[in-house]
Amino acid sequence: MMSKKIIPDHNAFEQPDWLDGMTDSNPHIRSQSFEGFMNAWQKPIYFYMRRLLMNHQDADDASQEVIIQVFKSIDSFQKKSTFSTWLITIAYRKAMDAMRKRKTHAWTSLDATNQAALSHLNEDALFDADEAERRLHSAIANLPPRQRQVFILRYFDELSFREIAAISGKTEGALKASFHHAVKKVRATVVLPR
Amino acid sequence: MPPSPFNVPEGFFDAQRQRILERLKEDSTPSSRLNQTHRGSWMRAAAFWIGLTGVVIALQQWNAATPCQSYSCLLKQHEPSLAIPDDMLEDWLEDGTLFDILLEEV
Repeated sequence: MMSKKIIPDHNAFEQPDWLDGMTDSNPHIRSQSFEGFMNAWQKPIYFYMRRLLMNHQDADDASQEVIIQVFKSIDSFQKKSTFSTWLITIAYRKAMDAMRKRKTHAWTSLDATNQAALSHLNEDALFDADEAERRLHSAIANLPPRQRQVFILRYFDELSFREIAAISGKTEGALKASFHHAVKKVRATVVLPR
Repeated sequence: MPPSPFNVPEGFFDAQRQRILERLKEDSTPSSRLNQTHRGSWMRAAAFWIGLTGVVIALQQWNAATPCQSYSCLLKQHEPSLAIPDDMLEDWLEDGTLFDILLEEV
């Protein structure tokens, strides 16, 4: 399987050199830290949201909210976990909120069909993929919020269940069950004939 | 960054960075802090009055309530809520055994 990781490897960002500058009283250092943070995380956060929410506008709003939240609560980061785990936890929660709010969208409601999600992707000018990838993403769009998150973090970003447990606050067992169900549903959709 | 089927409009990331920077600056300006303090005192006053009204209403209801003699009376007083949180619903849906049993029964 081709690697499609969008979340940077944890080791590389375990203790980013710009981290301490985010709370520095000197505005120049804070500004440099902002640039460092944005260079490292702006795109990963956006694409994480985009994979979950599918739509550009929603991903834009949600990723902005995550970044603002990071800067607002950076004082509360006690370095008990890696910065990336802390950050992805914020992103995970914001994504959960966004997905639950969007339940009113026809193609994410309980009785939505994969066909509806597929049409949505086909109409999206900012989505450029072959048929197999379209079907894969439409299947992901129809998963319930938690299964969607676990599937994306495990399948695309190759995080371990332990890491996902630290991010989501769920047990590894529950996450494995979620992933199992998600894979089953995605497989059932992706192999369906046209 | 690996290739992604998701594209963004030209210059999107620079524009988003600018918007975030502006929002962060707005949040840290003294005037907005002042407004927040001002808003905070209004909210505390409002919360106080809402709380006080709530206590008065609760006391009135407590005085007016008569002890129930039947289950139907208890049900009326404590109407059960059927609101199920999403997490719980997902847990149930993920319980394959429960789902299989239900399917078999259907």
